[in-house]
Amino acid sequence: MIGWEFPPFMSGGLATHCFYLTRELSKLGVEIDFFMPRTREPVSVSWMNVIQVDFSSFSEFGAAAVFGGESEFREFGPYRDFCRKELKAVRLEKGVVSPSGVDEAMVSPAGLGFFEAVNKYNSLCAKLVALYHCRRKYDLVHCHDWITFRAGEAVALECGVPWVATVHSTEYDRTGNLWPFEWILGIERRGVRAADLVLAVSNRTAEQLVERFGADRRRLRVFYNAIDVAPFANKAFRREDFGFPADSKIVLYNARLSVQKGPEVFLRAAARVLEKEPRARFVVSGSGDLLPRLTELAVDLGIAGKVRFVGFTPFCDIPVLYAVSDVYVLPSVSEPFGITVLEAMASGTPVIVSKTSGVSEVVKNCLTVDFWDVDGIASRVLGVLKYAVLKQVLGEGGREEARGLSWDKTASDVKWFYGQAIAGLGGEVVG
Amino acid sequence: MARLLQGWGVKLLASICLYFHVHQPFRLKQFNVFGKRGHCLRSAYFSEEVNKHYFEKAARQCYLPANKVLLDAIEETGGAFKASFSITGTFVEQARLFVPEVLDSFRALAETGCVEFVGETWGHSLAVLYADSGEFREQVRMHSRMLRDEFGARPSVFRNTELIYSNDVGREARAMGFGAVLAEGFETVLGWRSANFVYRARNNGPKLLFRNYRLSDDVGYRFGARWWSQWPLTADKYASWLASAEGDTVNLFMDYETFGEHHWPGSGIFGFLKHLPRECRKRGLEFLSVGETASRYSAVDEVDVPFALSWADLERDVSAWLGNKLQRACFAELESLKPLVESAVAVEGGESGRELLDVYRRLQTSDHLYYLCTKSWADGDVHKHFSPYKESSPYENFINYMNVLQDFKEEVCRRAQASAASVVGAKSVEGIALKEGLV
Repeated sequence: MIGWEFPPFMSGGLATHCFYLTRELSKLGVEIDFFMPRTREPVSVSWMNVIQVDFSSFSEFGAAAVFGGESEFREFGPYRDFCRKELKAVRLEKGVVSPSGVDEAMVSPAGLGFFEAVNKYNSLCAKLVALYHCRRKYDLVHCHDWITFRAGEAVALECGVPWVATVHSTEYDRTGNLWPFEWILGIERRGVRAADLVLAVSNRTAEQLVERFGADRRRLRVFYNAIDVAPFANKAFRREDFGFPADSKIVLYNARLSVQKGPEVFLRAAARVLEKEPRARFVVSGSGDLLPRLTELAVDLGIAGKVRFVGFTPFCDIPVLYAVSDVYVLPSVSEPFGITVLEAMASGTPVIVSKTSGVSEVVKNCLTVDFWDVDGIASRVLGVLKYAVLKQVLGEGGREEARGLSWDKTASDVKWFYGQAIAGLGGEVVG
Repeated sequence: MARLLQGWGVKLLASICLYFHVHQPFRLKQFNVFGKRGHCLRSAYFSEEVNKHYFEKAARQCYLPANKVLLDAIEETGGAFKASFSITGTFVEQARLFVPEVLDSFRALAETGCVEFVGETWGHSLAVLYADSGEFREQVRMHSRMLRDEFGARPSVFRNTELIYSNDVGREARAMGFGAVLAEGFETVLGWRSANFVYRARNNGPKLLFRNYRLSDDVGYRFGARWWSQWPLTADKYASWLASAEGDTVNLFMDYETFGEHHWPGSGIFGFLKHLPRECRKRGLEFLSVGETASRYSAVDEVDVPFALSWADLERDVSAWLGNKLQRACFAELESLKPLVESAVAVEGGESGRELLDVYRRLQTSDHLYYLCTKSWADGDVHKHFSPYKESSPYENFINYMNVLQDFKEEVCRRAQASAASVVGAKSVEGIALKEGLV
């Protein structure tokens, strides 16, 4: 399996997914070698070999020769800071703090830009996997997202093994459909067409792959992310401990501060909510390039005193965040899945999520809304804050529903798809 | 064959009791909590556009053509064909607003004397489940008045909303002068007994007519179902089933919207309805209205129904409307509004008071609670089918309904206080005038 991020080095759902998927797959008897970029602190888990690729010592010439020169990647717009800012080392357990600066070392070895780093990673990974294959004889190679697709394709070609590509999000999603970067689209398009089997995290994403990338429906499968409810169970916190008045109502935003996730709409809805419910407080958790703009917006809307920007929340603190909140809002413009929704549900926190999210295909116990509908979001927030019975029913129902979405089920789906890929059934419609 | 069976003590069916339920709720608007509400409550809460759309569609597809078929059947059989209707107050009001011809066609049916109208609550409400029976009785009286004014009818048989029946309902109906009540013929209360006889409620209560749900659902539910082994159902085949049934009467109770709405005209449902009277009469079966059925046959046994029974969903209880906490919260809110509305009406009176009462009755329609149902299995689809708010979940429907109820509550209190204050104000002005010797 070729990945990019893995706990404790993570920025989003991809790491969580790889962590739980590999763990459950190994329980199902799947032997995994997991390839990922080198981090300053080595990553190690009990259920598989983690092979960390150190591409800083890899010659630039090699990368350029495999995937083209570096000059074309000088300007890459919104993606420039993606990893430097986002791929922070986070604490998985309390007390274990990974050293800072890991991201820099990992992503910009020898001062490389992001795209060059991706290029080098893929190129080196492909070579390394092929090398390992001589000894390990892999049955299949599984790649996650465009960032590893080229390696997957190269390995499949060289070693003659089927390759499976999971699409967690597309470039259209990540940029809110506004300025997709052509280079990445190219990799995604090529990847989903070349892979023996493509796994999409929702029907929504699958449809997008067919429509926009011309993916072959017969080689496309949908699976859903899941949730390990254990960290989210039985947390009770008083809001006073966090400096909120006892009678305050807390509305949570927990996602990257990027156009894709719709934080602006969240703030505008917050202003509407405050017109009717002055006790409401808004917590914005997450970091991203929109932060300066959002703080300004909060001031302009006259709600700066009621909004708290808390920055990126490490994994171990997230359950606290949900437990202390009255309602969680994810107003994503385009959300392939949305694992945080399951996290909030597992915590018993009511959820308001945009209709344009994959997760709303699987869960019922949440409120859905159009991502642009400021008043719609605000009136739903007010509904949950005002009517205790609704909060209770959504909380209980959500918790129950989240419990039913376990990773072992997802893993057994994925294992079944592996079987299809190995048997070469990708080209046929399999019931 | 028939004689042979009779020799064995089996009694073949003598008559058919057809009963149709006619109802349209006042569907809610997506209430905007941020906007400024207009003064007219009716237009602020209820969506004229949506209601008009549904009513016109139903009138075109069901009410007008089905009434025509029945009228023809009555004429063709020289008045031997009989049917019974329960028509809700909200339906009549919408008919008046949107398609008055529908009322005319029902009046034409009423004038034949072959159609009986059944009493119920005016707004298809669950008022019978309130702790205090005052509201229930008021609504039933209101409905009877409406039947008298619109169709010149005096109901003698009662049906409660969604066929909700229990011993209490029977007692209430009896107290209000009804001689018979309709109920669901479900095994939980009938046990081994057949629904094809007339029964009596406990303690010498009213007579009970139980719905034969298998034969009723063959038409109401399965008629257009291609997965059904008996599809397609013809009038001939169905009449032969009726003729071979045992008992005194077979009670076929169904939504009137079965004809043309639940089963679209292309399914052949109108042809079925048209030919059914002829096919039945061919087999010697008589048609009786609900009142005639109740008086023709004497009760064979007493039936005890301690818990509420209804014709909805697989459970046949009230869980379709009060199954989850959201529904119960709204229901409690409705019930608690009663004294507030009453006191507001007492101070306000006049047009404003009538508006408050009317809105209160419209809000009590059980459909609003039905749309909040979260049962996830097969019945959930039925709920979705009947919901006008297809885009939104029960949770969103709850927020909207509760927002309306809260706004209404505030308005009721505001009006009550305003008029109380104006009375006080007038008095104090008088007082000052007295003191200053101006009067």
